[in-house]
Amino acid sequence: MNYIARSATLVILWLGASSWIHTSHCWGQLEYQPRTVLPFPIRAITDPPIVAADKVQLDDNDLVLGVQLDGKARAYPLNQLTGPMREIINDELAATPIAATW
Amino acid sequence: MYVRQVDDQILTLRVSGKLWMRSLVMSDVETGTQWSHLLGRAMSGPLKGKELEPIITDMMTWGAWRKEFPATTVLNMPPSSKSYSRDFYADPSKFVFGFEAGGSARALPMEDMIKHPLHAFKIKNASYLATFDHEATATRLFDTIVDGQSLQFVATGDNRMKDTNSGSTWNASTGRAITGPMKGKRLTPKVGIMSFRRAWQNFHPDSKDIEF
Repeated sequence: MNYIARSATLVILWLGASSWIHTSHCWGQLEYQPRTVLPFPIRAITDPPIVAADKVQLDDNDLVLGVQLDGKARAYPLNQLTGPMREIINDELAATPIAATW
Repeated sequence: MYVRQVDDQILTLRVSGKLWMRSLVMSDVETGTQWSHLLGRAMSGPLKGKELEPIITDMMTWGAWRKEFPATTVLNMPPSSKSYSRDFYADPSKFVFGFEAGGSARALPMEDMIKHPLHAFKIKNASYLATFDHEATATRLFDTIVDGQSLQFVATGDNRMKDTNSGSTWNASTGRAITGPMKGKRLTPKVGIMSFRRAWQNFHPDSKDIEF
């Protein structure tokens, strides 16, 4: 199966699974009861493409997650952090290893 | 947003393929530990019980972010088809700005924040100030103590506020004093997360709403 078909299958699996799953609540104390929705983890995203502000085509009204560390600022457009394939970006800012995720 | 390091070990986090209470479970490549995405806590595996340090993160418009930080860098990956724009908050009752204070969870209902964009409150003798910037759609939470003095604020419009202690004018969104005796001072920002109300409540069943 090629990459796109595999991704599409994963997305469908993911959406299907998240909609029918019944969650079990344990009020007061949270019991860890995860459900397996994908048979294997998604490959980690490392060394993400980072560019200067004037090198991107973003609308001023687009939402971003912004972080500042030691005087360095970085923005993660929200629509680049969503979807099961890339919900977590392993990055580094001001020599600090960070995980961009929402 | 987390520092992906525990003690001296840098972790590479990925989507584990599991969900817990309909939310993402992350796993790290190095140890296979499973981490709750919303709690930042290791739920199962060798690092169980450890917590990732959350980083102060602003969810706001690109235009406002770039204006505040002209030298910002930005992630440049292909976007998903879904668009997240200012109209994301069309139904603010779905959102809370969640945070932890004095060991317990609290939530600022976005419905109230949008109507009252400058809101001061106390939790166990600690004073907080929450601000909402309509233009940037940014919610920020601050500690109001500066140089040992607890400041009181009044809104003066146009995303500005004045402290009644010194009469200085502040930018309510950035928490920086722009004119007056306090000029150059900065309120200390606190960690919080813009979250779906349902998700926040699932993970923090004892969370209480801040009253307005």
